[in-house]
Amino acid sequence: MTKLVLGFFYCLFLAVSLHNFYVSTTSVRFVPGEKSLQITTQVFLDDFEGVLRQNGNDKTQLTPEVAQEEIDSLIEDYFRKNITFKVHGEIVDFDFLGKVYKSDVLIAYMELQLDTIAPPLSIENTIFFDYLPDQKNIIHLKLASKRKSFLAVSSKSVFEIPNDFFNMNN
Amino acid sequence: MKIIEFKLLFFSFLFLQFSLSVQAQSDSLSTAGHSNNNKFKQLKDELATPNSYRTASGAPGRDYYQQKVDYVMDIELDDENQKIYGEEEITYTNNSPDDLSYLWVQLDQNIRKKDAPALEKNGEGAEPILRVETFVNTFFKEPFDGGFNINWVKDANGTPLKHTINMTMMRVDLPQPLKSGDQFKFSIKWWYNVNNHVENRARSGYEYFPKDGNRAYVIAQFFPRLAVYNDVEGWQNHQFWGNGEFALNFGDYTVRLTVPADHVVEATGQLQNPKDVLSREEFKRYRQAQTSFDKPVIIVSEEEAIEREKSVSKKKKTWEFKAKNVRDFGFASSRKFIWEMMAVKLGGKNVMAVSLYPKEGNPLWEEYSTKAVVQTLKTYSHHTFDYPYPKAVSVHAKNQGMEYPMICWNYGRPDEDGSYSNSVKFGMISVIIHEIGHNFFPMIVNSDERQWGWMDEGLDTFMQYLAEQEFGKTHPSAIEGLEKYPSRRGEPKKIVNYMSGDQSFIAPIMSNPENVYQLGPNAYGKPATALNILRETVMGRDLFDHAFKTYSQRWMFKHPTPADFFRTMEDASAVDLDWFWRGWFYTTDFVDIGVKEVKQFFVSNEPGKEVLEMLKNYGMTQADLPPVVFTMVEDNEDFKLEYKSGSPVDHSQDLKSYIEENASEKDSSIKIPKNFYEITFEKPGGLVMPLIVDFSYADGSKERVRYPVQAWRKNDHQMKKVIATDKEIIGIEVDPDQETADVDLSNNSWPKTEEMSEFDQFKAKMKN
Repeated sequence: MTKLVLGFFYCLFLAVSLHNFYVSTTSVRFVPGEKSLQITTQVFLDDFEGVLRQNGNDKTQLTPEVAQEEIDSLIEDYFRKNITFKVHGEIVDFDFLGKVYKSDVLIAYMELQLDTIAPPLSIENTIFFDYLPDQKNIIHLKLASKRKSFLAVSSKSVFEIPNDFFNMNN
Repeated sequence: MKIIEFKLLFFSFLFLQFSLSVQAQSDSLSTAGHSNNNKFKQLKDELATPNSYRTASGAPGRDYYQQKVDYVMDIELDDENQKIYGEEEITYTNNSPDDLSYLWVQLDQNIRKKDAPALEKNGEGAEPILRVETFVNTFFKEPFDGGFNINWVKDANGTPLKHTINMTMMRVDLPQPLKSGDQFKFSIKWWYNVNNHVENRARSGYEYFPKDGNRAYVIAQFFPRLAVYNDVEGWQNHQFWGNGEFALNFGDYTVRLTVPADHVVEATGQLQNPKDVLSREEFKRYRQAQTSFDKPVIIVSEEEAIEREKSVSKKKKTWEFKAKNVRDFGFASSRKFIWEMMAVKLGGKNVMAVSLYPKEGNPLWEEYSTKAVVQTLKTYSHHTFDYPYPKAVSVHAKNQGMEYPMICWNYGRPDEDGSYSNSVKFGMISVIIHEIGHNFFPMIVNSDERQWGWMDEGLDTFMQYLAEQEFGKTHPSAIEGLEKYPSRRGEPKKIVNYMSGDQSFIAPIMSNPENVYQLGPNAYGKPATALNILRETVMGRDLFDHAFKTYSQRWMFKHPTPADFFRTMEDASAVDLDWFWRGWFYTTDFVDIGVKEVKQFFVSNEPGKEVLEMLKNYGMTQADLPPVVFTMVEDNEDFKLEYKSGSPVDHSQDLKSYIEENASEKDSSIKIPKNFYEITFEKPGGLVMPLIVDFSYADGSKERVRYPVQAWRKNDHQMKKVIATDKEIIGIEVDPDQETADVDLSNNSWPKTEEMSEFDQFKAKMKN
């Protein structure tokens, strides 16, 4: 029992200061006309750099000043591993369109074509859970004026996207 | 006379009509009543009633008091066994009007006891994914044996004092009640095991460097500290649960730190015996640094530090520090430390800007640490008061960012080969500015962090933004290739993601730090942004800066509450801000304001149907009216095409006569505009804000209009504004510079521009 509780050490003794609150934002917008899900994820550069380095890429620098090819494939791999969409338990692949640097954040663009996919659809977001125990990932679903949000934490990271999200008449 | 009376009657009739029509829209009688929920209602119900301790203007009152607690401490750091021993003599001065029968002492280290309740404060269950170290620490290892071991508590005569420990608080019972105005001296002897702060991400502890076998200690919350007793909380003995930081008394400290003889030490306070602890050469450099204003003097160089790492001294040395009027004491000690300092002139006084770091911090730390300290002292002093302490020290500690009086721990470590990315560099400069900045809030403007995280974090993060932007200007080479310093927090649009998020995971700023979901945006980002918006958009820089400085100076070396801040900002500026505090600090509402509809209207010679109807209701005809002007929108069924042509004066006989009479008096102030518009603005968001609008005209010109926030006070959902102009309006944009943190920009323009989303823009760019 006493051993179990130690898991919370990280959040307990966090130096309450500047950078110790880790949040990423993912917005998922359904575009009925194109039958597509537009996925935009924003993460902090320093966190992402830390993750990639921890995972064995010691020299990675996320900055536009260095060659991007290798970085791009690392980033794409990471997003494919940590943002997953499933239909009836089967992973469906999205197109990874690319990323941009913006001040201290990185924005990644992904798109999921829904013409051959029928909901129910689930989304899992485990970004940085392998690196920062206190990481929280916010997911916004958007359809026209409709909005719904989820907060992914390491103990709860899979969410069902409600079917009416895909209903164009709403 | 008669005409005037008639006019009055007519206008009151118009108003009556208006209010009737508003009422008609709700189901009048069946609607339930309500209390005052106007967004502009004053905060009298939320704020404590002013009294002689704290005035209605937000200043300390004539009976304001605070306790004074002085410490004399002998501390020994056992590097070999990672233990720390202390004996402290406490002098407690009861300045309160009350007699006290016991004192509460804070034992923050007890949060690391094996059986600390804080370990069980969460209830989120098993986690499907964990870092390897976390998994091993959690399930495979014995828990760390931390927490205070109290040897004894004695009074000045050596008689043991009865004491009772409740988690992180210890009650010391006094033999006789301590009378108002009296002093009580007592001593505590204690020890504890020092934790590895890197393993459990603590605020205090050591980092172990396996390559050379040495440790670097950053030690804080390490001695039993008196809790605050005051007029707002009584004893502030709210337990330490980990997130809500500290509430502490001012006092004078004399601390003798005994450490291995080859350690370099920095601490809160002025070093009393540099000759005893420094080598002849080091002492020479130390003296030289006191007047080095252009660049730091290296007291211990990287080469010297590397040499020290190679052996372990069995001898001890005692460093003595004295500090006046501080609320806490922290220190850093290691044989690995490189040490540099330079002098900064602030208000006629010299302050030492100091950096202390292991070689692992270089080359980043020798380049930027002291520069960031200097910039912080300058910018913050300019906006508050001249930094009153003799020094400010930035210590490098892995993963850390934590503040104490005159000293703080900061992260930012290059790769082993010395290379570092921009994010490591800016992360390091930002954290140094933030933590050094904490000297102002809460070390000197001593708010209660245990209750109100935002009072120091929010104010400090706001000031940090200003200091970072200054740093970018004074060190252009540091931000090469960038337009300005890349501040993470402060700009309004950066808080939009948080404020537009799921309401179940957002708490008002006025919440205890333990009870919020996202402490970062909650206590740091949102209040900092709110203050930035106050400064740039609501109050303007002059009024804001004066009020902010007034607050800082009123509460310098005192204990302010949120009400003292809210009241002072209004008191010193004559800007009613209750609506702002109420919305931004007491609710989770967000800003969303847009333009809904634009209607052009024209002067007409004949009244429209609705005017005739109105007159009929009052038993009047057109003939009973004084000279009036009728107007009509284009889609009115009585509208005639001719109203659109020529001057408006041509379509109203009354108007024409009036103009002709006045023109004969050569009234040059009369100009006849060609176009009249009624514009409807909507406010789907809960927050009220000033309405900032850019009008674009057909001739290519643009005009910025700022409507006061008070325009929302009678209708919280929409407002209609009339524009009379010679020019033709072709475009309207609300909040054009994105200065209000508007969460939805899709309703901000007229005509609605179907702007390509960022997503589509990116996709299009990738295709090309």
